[in-house]
Amino acid sequence: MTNPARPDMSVELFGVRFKNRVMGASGTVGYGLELLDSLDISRIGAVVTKGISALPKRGNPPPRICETPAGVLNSIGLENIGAERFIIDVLPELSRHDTNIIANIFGETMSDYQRVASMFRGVKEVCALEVNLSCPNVKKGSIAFGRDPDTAARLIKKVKKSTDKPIIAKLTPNITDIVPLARSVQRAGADGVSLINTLIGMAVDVEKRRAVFKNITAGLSGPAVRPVALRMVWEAASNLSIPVIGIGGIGSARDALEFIMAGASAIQVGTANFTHPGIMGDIVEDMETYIKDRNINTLDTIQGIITRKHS
Amino acid sequence: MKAKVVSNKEVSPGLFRLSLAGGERLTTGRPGQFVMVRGVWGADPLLSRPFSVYRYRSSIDVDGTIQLLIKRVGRGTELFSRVVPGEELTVQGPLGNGFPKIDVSGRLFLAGGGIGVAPMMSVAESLAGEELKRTRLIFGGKAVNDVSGIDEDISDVGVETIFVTEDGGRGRAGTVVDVLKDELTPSDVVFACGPREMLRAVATLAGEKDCRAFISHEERMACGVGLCLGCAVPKASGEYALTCTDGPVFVAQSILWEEL
Ligand SMILES: Cc1cc2nc3c(=O)[nH]c(=O)nc-3n(C[C@H](O)[C@H](O)[C@H](O)COP(=O)(O)OP(=O)(O)OC[C@H]3O[C@@H](n4cnc5c(N)ncnc54)[C@H](O)[C@@H]3O)c2cc1C
Ligand SMILES: Cc1cc2nc3c(=O)[nH]c(=O)nc-3n(C[C@H](O)[C@H](O)[C@H](O)COP(=O)(O)O)c2cc1C
Ligand code: FES
Repeated sequence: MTNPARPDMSVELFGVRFKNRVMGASGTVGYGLELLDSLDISRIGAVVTKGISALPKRGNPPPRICETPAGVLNSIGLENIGAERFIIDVLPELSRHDTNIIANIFGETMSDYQRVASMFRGVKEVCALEVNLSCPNVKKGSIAFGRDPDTAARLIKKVKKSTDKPIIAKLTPNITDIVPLARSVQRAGADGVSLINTLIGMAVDVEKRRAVFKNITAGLSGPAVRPVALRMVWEAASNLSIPVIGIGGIGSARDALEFIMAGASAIQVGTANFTHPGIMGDIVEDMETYIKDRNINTLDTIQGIITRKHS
Repeated sequence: MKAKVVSNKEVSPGLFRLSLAGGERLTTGRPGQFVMVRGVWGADPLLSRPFSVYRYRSSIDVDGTIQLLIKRVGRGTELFSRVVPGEELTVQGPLGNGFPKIDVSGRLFLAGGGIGVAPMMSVAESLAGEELKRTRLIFGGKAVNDVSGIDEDISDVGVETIFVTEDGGRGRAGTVVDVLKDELTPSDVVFACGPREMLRAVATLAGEKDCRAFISHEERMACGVGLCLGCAVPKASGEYALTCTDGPVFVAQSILWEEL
């Protein structure tokens, strides 16, 4: 039996070549190296780092995790080691693996965002910055900038000026209409958008008669959010000319293909990494099988197939 | 990795001893390490559950198995209580640091409050000879049911055990900490696992008695391997450590108990 040629899974987004469309979502793959026990990261298109700020950040007090039906609430609070330690201590090791590295960045003020963005100037191991405009677990910054289209646009313009890399605006689902926000960041110069970040949720401990989390609210992710994420990705992709990266409850090749058909150029896997280590490798393989079995040459054929029908 | 259920026995009301055969890798862990376990069920319950390895070596079951001691407390443990031999579970691990291998000039006290006895048995079975002779397992709970079900394993391992119950139903009346208060001298070492308040008291007592003490800390976990930063525990140094990769075993006084 001849070994059929492996289909070309690669994709070019904002001038960067990715070997496939599967990426590890920020906050669910550590700084990439933590994945190595369960996954050869050279099999996936990119690793998106835990959110990084200019200075290290301590994060929220425990408990930080609570399970809900088919989902998980988290209140991590963007704990991270800071850009300097990431660049000096982690990046040399991480960049030895053959995958793209996207740094997810955030700050408390607009100038914090500019500062961390500029710290990655000339750091060639990092191919793009994902700008987190959407974390619900911090009091300052992030989602505070990400809910109003004008504020988000101002921030994106500033970050754009501070970096030599393509930037991806990571958007929040915690708004009424994603389209004006997505359009606004595109106009401001974002090279791509990714969505969704977590949905704001809450849990109460009825025995202790108090909220589970000290911040009361927390971010919901996992299979429970997938239909909402899919709808928002479809809305964004139908209205933008820049790539849309789909995130939210993806845990199989089928889930991933739903997002691609809804218009996503690539997808990120988040919570599923916790429950099924190594799952991203399986997703890549199963997507290959899907297109081979159906004699499709590339995923371009089906990308946005639903968007096109509706627009 | 997939592991096959070899046996699942209710050893006392709501307490299950689950034997899993999953190959050699499973059995090469250290005492005090834990595994993340899930069933073949889909997305609900979503997260895997952490359990200490109760026994790595056992004469009771098939070779190459580990045993877990699981207390039924909620949805996940309810499902594990119902698995039957032949069923497959997914197991990751053993994970975490485990208890240290240290020289003890006095006695080693293995203090288990309720289900906290689970990792203590894995320590006890790793000892032999003189070391085992100088080791005492303290098994404490509220009533007789909380300190039952593991007599067979205690005699198999051959560890001298002090039972203690709050209502005096089995062994001494009082708590694990009361026993430690009477027994501890500065050359002794304590390994402890149990409810948070018990561990806090052990830390304080170790300070007063000038003893070394190590505790196994429990925190909510999502990944068990350092991906999510969900299992943070505040350290006296002001930083957070991760329970899953830096722990679950910590020097008792290194934890910032006021923040927990
Ligand atoms: C390192 C470690 C070792 C453990 N060893 C054992 C053991 O040997 N035997 C045993 O019976 N139990 C052990 N536990 C506790 C056990 O993990 C919980 O009792 C179990 O997860 C509860 O699941 P549930 O679905 O029945 O409860 P639910 O309350 O329905 O669970 C809801 C959520 O909370 C989490 N959760 C609840 N309680 C705990 C807890 N105490 N620690 C961590 N997560 C929790 C669950 O994982 C789940 O995500 C250990 C916990 C840790 C962290
Ligand atoms: C524990 C945890 C930590 C996260 N941390 C970050 C973060 O630092 N930056 C960020 O942009 N998104 C973060 N996210 C959001 C995820 O990247 C993703 O957008 C979200 O979880 C939805 O995808 P999922 O349902 O596949 O998990 C985090 C999510 C989880 C569960
Ligand atoms: S449980 Fe995810 S980092 Fe510890």
